[in-house]
Amino acid sequence: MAFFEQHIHDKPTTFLSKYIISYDHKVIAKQFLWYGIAFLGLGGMMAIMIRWALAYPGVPFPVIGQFMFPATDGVIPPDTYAMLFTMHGTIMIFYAITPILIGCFGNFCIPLMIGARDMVFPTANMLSFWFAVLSAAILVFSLFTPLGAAAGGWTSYPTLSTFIGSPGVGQTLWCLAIFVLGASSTMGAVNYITTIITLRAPGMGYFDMPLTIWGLWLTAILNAIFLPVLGAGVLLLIFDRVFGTTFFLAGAAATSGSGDPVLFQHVFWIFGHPEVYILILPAWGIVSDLLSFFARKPAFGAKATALAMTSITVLSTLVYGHHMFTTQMSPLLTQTFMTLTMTISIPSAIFFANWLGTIWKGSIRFTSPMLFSLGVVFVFGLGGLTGLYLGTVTTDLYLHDTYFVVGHFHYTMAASVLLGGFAGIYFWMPKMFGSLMNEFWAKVHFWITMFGLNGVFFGMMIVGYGGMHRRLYNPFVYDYLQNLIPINTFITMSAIVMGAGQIIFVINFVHAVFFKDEDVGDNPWEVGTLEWTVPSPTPHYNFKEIPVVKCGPHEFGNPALPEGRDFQFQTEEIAKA
Amino acid sequence: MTSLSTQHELRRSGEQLKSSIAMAVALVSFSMLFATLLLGYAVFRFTAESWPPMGMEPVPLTYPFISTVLILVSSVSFHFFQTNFFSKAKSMAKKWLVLTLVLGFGFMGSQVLLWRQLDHELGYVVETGVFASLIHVFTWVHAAHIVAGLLWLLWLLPALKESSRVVNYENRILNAGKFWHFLDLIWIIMFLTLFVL
Repeated sequence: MAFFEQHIHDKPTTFLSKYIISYDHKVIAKQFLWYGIAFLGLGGMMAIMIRWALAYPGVPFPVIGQFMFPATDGVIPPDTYAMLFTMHGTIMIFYAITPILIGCFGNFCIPLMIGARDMVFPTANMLSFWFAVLSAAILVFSLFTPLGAAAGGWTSYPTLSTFIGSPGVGQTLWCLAIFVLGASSTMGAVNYITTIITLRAPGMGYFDMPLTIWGLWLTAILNAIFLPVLGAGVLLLIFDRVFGTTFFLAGAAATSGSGDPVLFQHVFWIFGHPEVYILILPAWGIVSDLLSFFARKPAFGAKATALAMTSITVLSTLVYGHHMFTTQMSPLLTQTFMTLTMTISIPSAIFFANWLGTIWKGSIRFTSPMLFSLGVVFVFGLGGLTGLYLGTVTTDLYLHDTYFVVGHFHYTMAASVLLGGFAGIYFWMPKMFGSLMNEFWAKVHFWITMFGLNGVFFGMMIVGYGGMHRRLYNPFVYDYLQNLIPINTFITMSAIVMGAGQIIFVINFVHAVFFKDEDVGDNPWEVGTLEWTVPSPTPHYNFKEIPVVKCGPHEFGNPALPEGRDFQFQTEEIAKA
Repeated sequence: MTSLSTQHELRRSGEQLKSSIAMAVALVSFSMLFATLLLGYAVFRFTAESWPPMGMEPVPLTYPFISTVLILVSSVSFHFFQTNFFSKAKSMAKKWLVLTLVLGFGFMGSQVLLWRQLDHELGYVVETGVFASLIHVFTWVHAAHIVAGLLWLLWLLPALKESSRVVNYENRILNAGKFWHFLDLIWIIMFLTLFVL
């Protein structure tokens, strides 16, 4: 492909053009990072409140409870509880994980790792961020409306989400926020896809791209195809709520031609299943790279990993029905969806084995990014395996809508993605901000997070298997769940410990960004991908000269390399003895 | 060292490439939006006992037919604008673009007339059951895109200045054309499935 020089915006000089309305992919990446971390905090607080209500039903929430719920003496009321888990899911998925993994790493890594000076459409990139801000503003505003924010679950199934189930304006604002965010993400996706196709440095074939870029690219493709599906779904929901149409209302509406609540579930999951891969693919990519970087070995079967991720991307579009086994779907369809779902375990097993092959007999350096990557291998293994029980019709009928599901998708979507995101932040910190975070506290942060999240999510799977339903305000009014109170208390304790552990990260991060003045060198981790050939922090133009790529991203441990060096840059010919 | 003119050529082909790839991806996204609406329509239609349901009469074809003719001709006239512009026949190009715009606004006019007919003559307001809702929602969403398309067409007007150069406007024109033809295609699908069949 003919490579061409793109137009680059001049170096900004004013505060406004430098930090607010910036066209620079690196600044937009940092904006997305701060945005994501802020919402991670908000969503995390909501999680703690949910857990408090489950461990100590009827006990006032400590410290801030009196101020937030004066009417109930600090006890979280049932409607607020429903709002909390709805907003927790929405915020974590769309406003924390998406901006950090896709917005931040997508923007930061794509141009730097493929040897470009910026995205192809810097203006669309900037607009994408500000659309995301607009969407977040709508969502946060909805928290302060008279009947509160959306409370129909993050899936917002009708009729919970129609004006019969949620009469307040909160649900409408939720739909609007998601629609705006969809526009933002689609703009970003168009940008990412085009950038990766057209701006790879000369000599860089698709299989010379780091696997991080593969993950982000496949994510962008899924985003571009499936976000509009959700867009259409919430649009119809908005029409139902605002204009009085009855697309998703059955029953009373049947007198005037029938609506169909299950239709929304179809539309939602046609989008929703690809969405879980949208969230996890960047983390897979990052982990696939980091394992090789810190095991000081070439990524085992890197091509197979890339192709396995691609086939998962394709398969992910065909399996959405496994979310709907209990909707009276015909047995023929449930079995088809089950079989297709099981098929995903083949490519998953391939790249999982490749991960293990990569670290096998490596000279592993247990740095903080590596610890977090190994954490992903562990928690994603657990999350993936428990998915088999939910993809199988017979076991799913029992486990459907229990805490087993909650545990499973938190292992895959929350734990894996969170750990992968932390790995990325610790790893690219020097390139982003020019300083490294404190290794000791990073490791403390890792172990607290690791023990905390396993306590939370494994505990959830146990209580789920024990029969606890996922959205009950106080499950313990049922006698058979009484004996699950101790485990729930344990889960809540783990959650509080894990949440408190994040304070270490925030302090470490803020300290490294604002208060640390050190020279970390261009390449503190001794890695060969293109971003490590430029100074830290990255200068405005990224690359003085557009690099010419001569080898793959994981050339480690070549015996022909000179003494004392076990890696080579992608701009170097493969060392030959 | 590549010569200056080759660099210009490289840059031009690069710009063309990135703009056509991005437009293709964007059109996939837009298609998925309409495809989802169409899926919903198919579900309602095939599960209904009779269509139109509840003893409603089909919508008269007059206005939808006028809309179809207008947007079809506007697509053709855009094509002539494009070919004339690229062969540097500016005055002809100007006439074709103006005609496209007139037809585009005419399409919006015919849609407004259709909505008036639906609401006032037939009494099919948006909440009168799923049949009326579908027609309204489909035409509203499509019309919103038509408005965007018309703004895009207006954005092409500077290309008609005497001093403008083809190379500065080629991608903008090609993309506007793709979007406009796409909306034409969507309308034809809507015309056939919502009104004719």
